[in-house]
Amino acid sequence: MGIIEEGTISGTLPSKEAFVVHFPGYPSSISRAIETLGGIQGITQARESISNKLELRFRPEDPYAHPALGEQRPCSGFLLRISKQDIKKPESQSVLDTSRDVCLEEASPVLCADIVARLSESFHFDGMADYQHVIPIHADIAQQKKRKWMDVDPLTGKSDLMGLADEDVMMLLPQFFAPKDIPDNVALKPPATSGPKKKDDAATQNFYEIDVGPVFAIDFSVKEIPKKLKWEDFVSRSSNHWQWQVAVSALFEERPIWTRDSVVQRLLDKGLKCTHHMLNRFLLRAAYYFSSGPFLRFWIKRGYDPRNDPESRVYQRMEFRVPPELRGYCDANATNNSKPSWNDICAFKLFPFKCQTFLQLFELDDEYIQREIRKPPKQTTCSHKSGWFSEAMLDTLRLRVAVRFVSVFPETGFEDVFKSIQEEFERSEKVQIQKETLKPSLVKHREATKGSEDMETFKSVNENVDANVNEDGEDENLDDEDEDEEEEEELDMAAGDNEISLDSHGYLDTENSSRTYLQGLFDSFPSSEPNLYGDFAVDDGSDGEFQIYEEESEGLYSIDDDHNDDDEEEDDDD
Amino acid sequence: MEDEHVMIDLDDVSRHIDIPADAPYTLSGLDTLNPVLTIDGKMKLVGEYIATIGTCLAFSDKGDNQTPQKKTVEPVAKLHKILKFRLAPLDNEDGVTKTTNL
Repeated sequence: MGIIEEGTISGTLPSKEAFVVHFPGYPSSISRAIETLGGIQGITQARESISNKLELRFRPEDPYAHPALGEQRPCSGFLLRISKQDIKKPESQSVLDTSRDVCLEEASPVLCADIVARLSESFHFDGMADYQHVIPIHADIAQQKKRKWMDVDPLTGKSDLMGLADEDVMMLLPQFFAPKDIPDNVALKPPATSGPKKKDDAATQNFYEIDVGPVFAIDFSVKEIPKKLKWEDFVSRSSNHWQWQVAVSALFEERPIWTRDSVVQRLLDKGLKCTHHMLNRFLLRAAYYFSSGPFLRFWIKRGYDPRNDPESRVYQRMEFRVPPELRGYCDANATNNSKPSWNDICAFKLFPFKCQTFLQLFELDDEYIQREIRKPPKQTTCSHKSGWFSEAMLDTLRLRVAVRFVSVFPETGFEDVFKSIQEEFERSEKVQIQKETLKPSLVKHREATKGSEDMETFKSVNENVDANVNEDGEDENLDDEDEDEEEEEELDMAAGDNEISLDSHGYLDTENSSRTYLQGLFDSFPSSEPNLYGDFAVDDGSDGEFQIYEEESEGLYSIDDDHNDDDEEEDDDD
Repeated sequence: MEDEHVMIDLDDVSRHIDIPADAPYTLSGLDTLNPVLTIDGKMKLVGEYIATIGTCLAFSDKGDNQTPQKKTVEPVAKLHKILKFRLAPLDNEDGVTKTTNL
């Protein structure tokens, strides 16, 4: 040991090695500190182990104490020891304990200093401290320890530890505050990439919801119809959809109401083919449709309300149901995937494959029908049941459609059915003519002229029928021709795309929906019958006329029965 | 005999100088706030007192000659002062200081 003279010491650097532990606390004694570090054995083992981790348990008697980990690192330093020696008076007490001032004149206390060891390693505790839930008793004990930490004797400390051990036996404590031992930096990735996409999606959804609005199966009694849409804003000219959308929108400029089958046929004529789903998208941008009423499931131009325009009567819906006697033909063709040309159906050149076909009056190639639907409208409002026409008028038109289709039935055995429907149509037409003759006498002459024209038409039709019946040879030839036409149709349709079948699927949906409507319509038919009688009674008071009305009601009943039979058979099919 | 220990921290200068073993040293200015450590009569280091965070425990390796493989540690000291040294800036300053004293 060198005596400090004038604040200076000299010596030689030692070769003795030592290490230090930067203890993160203020232990009451070195022995207590060693205990918390796992004892001499624990410290020795930590220095030799590969991980070089030194475990520190602040409460070694607590089984739930979570250790803090110390990491071993190399360091460069020395250990300097400063001591005070009393040379002259051994018994004298030291007044200046911590003072390093040297008073050479007095010479009673002598300070000595010397570098005693070289420091090569150190343990640092950079991890999380073990903060843990401590009950008040433990807190009080800890506080007492703080007050007496400088004066506590090893024995006293042991007694305290014993007390803690006894108390801990009966208490359950949470394991530890945090599962992490070492703090680490967590870098959150910025959501710059996905954020804008989500916003775009949301904006797109809102955009469509606002602009497109409801277009499918709108209720017939709705007040406001969908407004016209600027589809050019979200269909780019360079995309494939542009020409499609232009073609579809142009159709609704040509006329405001279309059947889906007719739209498909027109697009096919232009060489444009697309899937069922895509066609729906193009249609909804330009049109909408009602879920019931005289335009059921017809696509109607956006912004156009057929309920306010009497001219829309020519676009009303018409249906044809195959008579029960001829239904075998439809059953035989049920599995026939080929679909007749829609133009041929509307021109009455082919008998439909389906038991029920929905048509548009405007498209039917029949002189009588086209003349009748273009007469001035008699009603001022568009009703849910019959639109701008009277129910009697619609029945007459329906019979006319049946006459035209049955006349082209491709098989034998339809003559009786044809005669029956023909006679029924003629009776219905007479009733219509008589109603018209009741108008003011100024118009009577014109009506009479039209009546005579109709009679001529009837005569020609009857002559054709008679000729067919009388000449058997001619009948056979007609059958052969029909068969040839069927074969040609099959070949044409076989070459068609699968997309057409998708369209037929949509058609079936329409059929199912309208079936329910028709059932409801004809179920309520008898209740409206008294009104019809009342109307007729007011118009005509003679008993003879009344008998004719009874015959008409019988016909209506038979129609209702036919529909019921249709429903039953269709249910059986399902 | 009362002992107090101070840790001499040379981590900041160990990268610049090589401290040989068994080199003579002179530690002066122990009665000031900035002691000066001269190693081997060449390198001058100026020290500054800092406090430890918590407590610094010093241990020495204890080896038994009879059984060299068996190792253990022995506590040496518990200290709360660190004397952190850095390289002395210039000799002129020291000269100036001495001149002033004279």
